[in-house]
This record gives sequence, structure tokens and C-alpha cells, in this order.
Amino acid sequence: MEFLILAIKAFVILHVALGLSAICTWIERKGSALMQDRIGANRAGAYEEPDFFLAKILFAIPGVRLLVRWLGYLGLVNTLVCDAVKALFKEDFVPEGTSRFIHALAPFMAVFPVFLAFAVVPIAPNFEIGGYLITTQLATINAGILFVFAMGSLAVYGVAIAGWTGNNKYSLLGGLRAAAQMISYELAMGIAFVTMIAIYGTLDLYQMVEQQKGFGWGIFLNPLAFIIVFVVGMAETKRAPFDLPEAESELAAGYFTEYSGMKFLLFWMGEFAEIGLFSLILTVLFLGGWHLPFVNLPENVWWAALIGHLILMGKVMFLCVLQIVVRWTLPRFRFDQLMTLGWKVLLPLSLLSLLVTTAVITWSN
Amino acid sequence: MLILFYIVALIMTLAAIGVVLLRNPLHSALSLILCMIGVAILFAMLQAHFLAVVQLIVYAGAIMVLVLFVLMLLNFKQENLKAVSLPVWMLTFFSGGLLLYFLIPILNKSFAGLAQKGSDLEAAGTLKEGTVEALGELLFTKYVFTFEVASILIMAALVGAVMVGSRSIHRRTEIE
Repeated sequence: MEFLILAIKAFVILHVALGLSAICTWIERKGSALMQDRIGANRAGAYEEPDFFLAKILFAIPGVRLLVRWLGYLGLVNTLVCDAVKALFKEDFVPEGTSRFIHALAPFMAVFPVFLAFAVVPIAPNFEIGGYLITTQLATINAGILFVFAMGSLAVYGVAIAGWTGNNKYSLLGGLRAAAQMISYELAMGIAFVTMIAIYGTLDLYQMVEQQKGFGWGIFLNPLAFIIVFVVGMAETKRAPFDLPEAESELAAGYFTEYSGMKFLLFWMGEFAEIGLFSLILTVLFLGGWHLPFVNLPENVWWAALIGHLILMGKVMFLCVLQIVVRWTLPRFRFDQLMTLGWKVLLPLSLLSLLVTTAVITWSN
Repeated sequence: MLILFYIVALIMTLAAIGVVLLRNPLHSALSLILCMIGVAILFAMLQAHFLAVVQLIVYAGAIMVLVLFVLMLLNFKQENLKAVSLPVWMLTFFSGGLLLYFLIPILNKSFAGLAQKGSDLEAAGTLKEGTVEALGELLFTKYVFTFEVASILIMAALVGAVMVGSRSIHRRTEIE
């Protein structure tokens, strides 16, 4: 029975991760269109009549036609269905002179740590059903948040290897730049995490959320760490303004030049899942998780868990939209500016925040 | 639990053999990464969660990235394994087998029942060794001198690396 609960939890959390990734893709397309004063994708599914037999039957049910037209006009059919089908059916070529195994391994290594890191993040408060206490963390390990950090370290491999198997200098340059960028920014992130660990006194993410009841949100306790982790989150996912490794106009798509079809979609989905992961981490650490200041939910009840989950997802969506807005607003950094920011600005700032936090904690005891 | 250990041990052994016997050096590096992830899994099975995660962060996430960088920048061609003669193979297996024959009883005696003890303690909720709190307490009270000396050593290596790197840049700009 325990195993069944674990399997269901894994299923649900995986779908949360995939759902975040898909919705972020759609928000990116439509949001970027809005910000660039154009309309974006709105043609697929909005105008045509189906001539596939099963689709005709489906359209005969009242309401389905209206729903599909509406979703198509919003661009959801285009993003979720058409992009996926296109990526699945594109020719998958491997450049010659490189190892086919590593070429296939790279998207896996870029995506797998991201989805694995969703295992230690709680997505709802604990609740009881039928006598079983269901914790929404898949793995309540002692070193909770360090697991996310370890997965961030492992995600560097996918990028470096992808750059190498392109077998041309643009890919290699993009891959090495991306790997160097990710490693440099992990330092500042780690120290900012240590600051929050020192404040909350625990490594377990669920305990961290539980300590943020009422007004004691992490962002009020340490706004500098919030800014640092936000900036590092954008740098780790290689989003603009840090997207020189995948700069479309400069490196011809950088480290995933030689990838097409499903492998490219895996990189793409992994990037958006990482946006969702960082938004989730930021919400759990800094924005109070599922707590709102004046809302007191009862413990251990299933509908309180659902409301908590919806509050959490609202905050996560806000942060995802914020990251997408920042991406389409700022121009990208040069690589030396990027490295200067990582080593000479963010690292001293995070050390300063650690110093101030530990001083305040020591003197208030 | 024992089944999981055997599966992980089998994967680690094959990965370790792969490090030595694979022709492409990048494949060897990836096998080594797989071996280190296996070590992290073994640490986690012994309820040393912090050590498992730190193994992933430091070893598999930083040191092996450095090795991968070096391999990618140096761009070795695939080397052909020279055909190893039969007496050398026999000597290899004999010495390896001798090492195992002497090592396994020693390891069995020192670490007997460790995994079982760890999971019993964790089930009872009284697990104290290997948790972050216990480790932090030891590091900062009993072994604090060793800890600080190790950090100074690492800083000395860092400063040395930066000095060596910057000297070569300066020499290049002097010539030009």
C-alpha cells in the first residue's frame, strides 16, 4: 500500500512538472507576442473543420467544438499539440564523426536532473486520507534542498556533452560557455541557499514552508537572497539576459545546433521545466509556499491541501510570468559581462548576505 | 533493499570496467560519472544522505565536469587498444583476485551489519549519525582545526591556480 501511494505521488508530481513546462511554453509564445505588439499563434484548431472520423464524432458533442475553437484561438492547440507532433515527426539526424550514443545521451542528461529535483519540493501541505498521512514531498531526505543543488550540478553535463557532439566549433563554444556559466552561478546560489538554511534552521523544504506562516515570508527576512536566487535561476536556465550559449543570432543556436526533432524538444522542455523548478524553489523558500498572510487553513484536511496547492501554483505562475517578461525585455549580456556579474558581483553579494544574516542570528540569540 | 544493492553494485562494476576498457575517452569519463552516481546511491542506502548529496555536488558535479572540459578541449582521437597478450591478462586477473581475496574478509569484519543498523535506527526515528546536524556538530566542535586547515589548503591551491593562469596571460601581452 505504501508503494502504491508512492507511485501515485510520483505520477502526480511528474504531471505537475510536465504541466508547468507545457504551460510555460504557451505563456512564452503568447506573452512574447503580446510584449512585441503582435498576436502570436492563433490559427491551429480555431478555424478548420475536421475530416477525421473520430474527430467528427467528438465535434458532434455539444460544447466540444466551442472549447476547441476557443483553445485554438488562444494558441494552446498550436503550442501543445502542433509543436509536439512536429517535433516527433521531424527527421532525427546525428552529425557524422561523433558518437551516436553521446548524441542521444545529452538531452537525457540535460532533462533528467531537472525532473528529479521536483521530488524534494513540497507542492501542497500534508493531508490525511483514510488514515494515511500523505506528504507531498516524494522523498523526505535529510539534506532536502542540497538535493536540488546536486541536480543543478548534474545538469551541466547535458549541456557540455551536447556542445561537444555537434562536432563543430559553434556548438563546442556554446556548450563550453553554457557549462562555465552554469558552474559559476551555482556558487552564488549555493551561498544564498546557505543563508536561508541558516535562517530557517533546517534543510528540509517542508519545514521551511511551515516556518513561513503569517507574515514571516523569506523575502521579508532576506530580500537580497531572493534577488540573488532569482538572477541565478535565470542564469542557470540560460534564459535571457544570460542566453549567450543559445544565442539565436550569434551562435546559430549554440549548443543545440545539431539537434532536431524530439531531442530538441527534450532540451526545450527541460529548459521550461527548469523555469518551473526555480519558480517553485523561490516560492517555497521566499514567498511563503502555500501560506497567505490572513488565511488560516486547517491542518491535515484534503480540501485545505487542495487550496494550499492552488495558492502555491498561483505564486509559481506569477514567478514564471515574471521570468518570461524579463527574458523578452532585456538584451543579452556579453560573455565577459556575464562572468563578471557571476564572480565579481553576485558572489560577494551573497557572501555579504551570509555575513549579515549570521551576524543578526548570532546577536539575536 | 539487498536487491537494490546488488543492482547498483553490478552497474558500478560494469561502469568501472568500462572506464578502463572503452576506446573513446569521453565514454570513459561518462562511465566514471555513472560509477560516482552509484557511489552516491550506496551512500544514500546507508542512510548517509548528506554524504550522498555532497558526493553528487562535488565529485560528479564539479570534478568530473573539469575532467570533461579537459577531454573536450584536448580532443583526443580514439585510441586503439593494443592487443594484450595472454600472460599479461592472466597476471592481471591473478593480482586482482588476490587483492579481493584479502580485502573482502577485512571489509566484512569492519562494516558488518552497518546497513541494517542504519535502517533500524532510521525506522526507530533515532538516527543521529550521518545527519546534517550530527555532521555539522562534529565538524565545528571536535574537528574544527582540521576543517579550517583543509579550507586554507584549498584556498592556497586556488590562489596558486589563479597566479599560474594570470602569469601566462601577462606573458602573452608582453610579447605582443
